[in-house]
Amino acid sequence: MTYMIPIFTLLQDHQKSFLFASEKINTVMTVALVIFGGLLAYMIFSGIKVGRLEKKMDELENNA
Amino acid sequence: MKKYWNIGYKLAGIGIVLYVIIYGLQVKMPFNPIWGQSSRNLFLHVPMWFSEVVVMTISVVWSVILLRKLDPDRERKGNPMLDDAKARSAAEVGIIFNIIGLITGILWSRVTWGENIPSSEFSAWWVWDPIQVSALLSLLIYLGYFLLRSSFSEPEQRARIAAVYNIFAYATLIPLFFILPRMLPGLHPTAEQKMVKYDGSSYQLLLIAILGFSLIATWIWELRSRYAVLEERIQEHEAEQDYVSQSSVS
Repeated sequence: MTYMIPIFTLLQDHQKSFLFASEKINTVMTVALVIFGGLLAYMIFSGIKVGRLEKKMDELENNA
Repeated sequence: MKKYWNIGYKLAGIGIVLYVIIYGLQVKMPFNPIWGQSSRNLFLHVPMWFSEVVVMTISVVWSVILLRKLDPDRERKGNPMLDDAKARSAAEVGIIFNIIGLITGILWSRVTWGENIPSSEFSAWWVWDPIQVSALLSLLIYLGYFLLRSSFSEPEQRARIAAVYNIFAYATLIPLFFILPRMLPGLHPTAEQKMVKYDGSSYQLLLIAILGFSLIATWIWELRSRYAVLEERIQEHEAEQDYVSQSSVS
């Protein structure tokens, strides 16, 4: 009978929406994705902009 | 020494956050039938608010430095606009952490407080809990900071008024985050309840997570302030060049 428990859980999970599935661990994964996705995107975006401005600053200083 | 410190705190931030993710998924959590495994969100969602307070503190410190520099009774040292750029960039990072905190909170509340409510209903996602409302209010107050900045064209006047507003905005964070939620009844567990529920290793891990995310927030602020300071210096440089070219023509 013990093997029935995970199957039963999986069947129940299948009926649940994404956030509620697998004892709600998917919510933790989604939250982690939002945090790290958001922060990484913001850092990469800022890093690219800083790189561009540093290049522009160097050009200005060389011209001066 | 400064270079090692600069690299060290970033590496420490990455290391701590990685440790929190790995250990946070394994640590034994107190059983709660409504929360289920979602209680592990504690190590991700709660540090967002502490990180916001850390960067807003950086912001208000630079605003105070700016106001001291703009004081007519003092001798002016350095460009005060660079301090304004640092204060503004810290407020920007704080807003990012606030928005991420709100989104993660909404997702977490969906599977706990709104568990039995259909997704189509607004109350499944937002329950007007005092802490939720406080977080939203703090976001609106800091959006007001940027709105105020955009209404002034003269840089020094903008910096001065924005710095004063920033001090008042920071002062509202304390009652909004730390006093009001404890006075009003709501769905969020209060600090005392949390300490009873999250005893031992899970509570320690929360403190470690707060430290790790605060270091990451400081890193992001450093990056954003580099951008803002560069922008300010380029403007200064271009203005100088314009002045030189105009005076040579005349």
